[in-house]
Amino acid sequence: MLATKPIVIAFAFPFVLLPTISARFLFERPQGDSLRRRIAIPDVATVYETVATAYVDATTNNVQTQTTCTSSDVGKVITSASSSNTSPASSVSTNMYTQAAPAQTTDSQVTDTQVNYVQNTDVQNSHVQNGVKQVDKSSYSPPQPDDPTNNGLYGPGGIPLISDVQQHATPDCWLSATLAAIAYANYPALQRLMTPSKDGSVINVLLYANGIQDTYPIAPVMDSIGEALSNVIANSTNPDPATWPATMELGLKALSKKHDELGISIDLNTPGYAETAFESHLRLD
Amino acid sequence: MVWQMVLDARKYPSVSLSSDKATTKLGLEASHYYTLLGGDKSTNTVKMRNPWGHVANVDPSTGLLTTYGKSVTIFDDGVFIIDFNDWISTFINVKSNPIST
Repeated sequence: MLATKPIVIAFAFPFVLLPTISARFLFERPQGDSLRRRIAIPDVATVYETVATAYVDATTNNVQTQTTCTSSDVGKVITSASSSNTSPASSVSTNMYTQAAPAQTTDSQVTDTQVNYVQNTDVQNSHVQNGVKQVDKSSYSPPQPDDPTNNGLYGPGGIPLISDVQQHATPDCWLSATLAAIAYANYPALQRLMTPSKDGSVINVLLYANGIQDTYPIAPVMDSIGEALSNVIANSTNPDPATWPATMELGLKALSKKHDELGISIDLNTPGYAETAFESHLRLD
Repeated sequence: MVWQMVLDARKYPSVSLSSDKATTKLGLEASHYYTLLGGDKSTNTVKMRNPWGHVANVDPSTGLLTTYGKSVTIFDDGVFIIDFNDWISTFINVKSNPIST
């Protein structure tokens, strides 16, 4: 078993909803603030492993099923990179469609008690101050749009776009939605996480798990089509795709492989949690 | 506080998980993570995106969600806007990562 420093995720909001079924989660109630709750988590991969079956609503104690994270290609046999996107929404253009006025609902599910910010408060290695990730901007050089080795990774514009994320065969909505969220709100973070080597032979993917930050060299995605990950298939329908979503999937898969040797794994083909995806991206510098 | 988190989604990467009743209640995919894109308090709406890159259960002849009789606005690439009350009754959590560059 790993002798790792625990990652402590502090939730800034009361009565958060988070996996709590295992005794491996050590709840603490900070003195003088009963509304705040901290949860100590051994490591990212273990979080996933532990909560993979069910979790308990910290507020109501109602056992809830976790996401099934359905892929958009259920039952579809993926045979090659030329698999086409037969999205039923392919006929939906940029026009918007509006239905009738909404009816009111009463059984509210998202409440203040179920909202939380994920924060990394690992003291020794923390770069989080006041809940905000601090990045040493002098320590990296984001890829530039005119860098020829960058074209395939981030697309023609050289910038990760939310539309680059197209989850298909792999039921990893927890990862895909998170990547899309980062592309939408903080795309420079993705540029720091994935940097092409100088000769373009590999993409170095920076991820964090088990108390350490590691770089995982990933072959350019078009060379790894056999991996048949979710976003590889999606991008295959685009003649000029951005491959960073698939690259990140491969990076997480490489991370999983490394930690699987130690008895911990992250399986992209089974349900997961956004916390896992967020946590793997927290250590950016 | 929920509204603030919705509004913060533009600067803090955020996702939201639909409940297992999302299909029957809204016509959206159940138990599925969506990217939270933001909201508009003046119109009481929330903007989201399905990571599939499209919204499921859309009737191609009408562009409407087939099992949903309420207000929804669907854009290309899986982006859609729903009423805040519908969202809050159908999604079970929000996760946000306040990383900063």
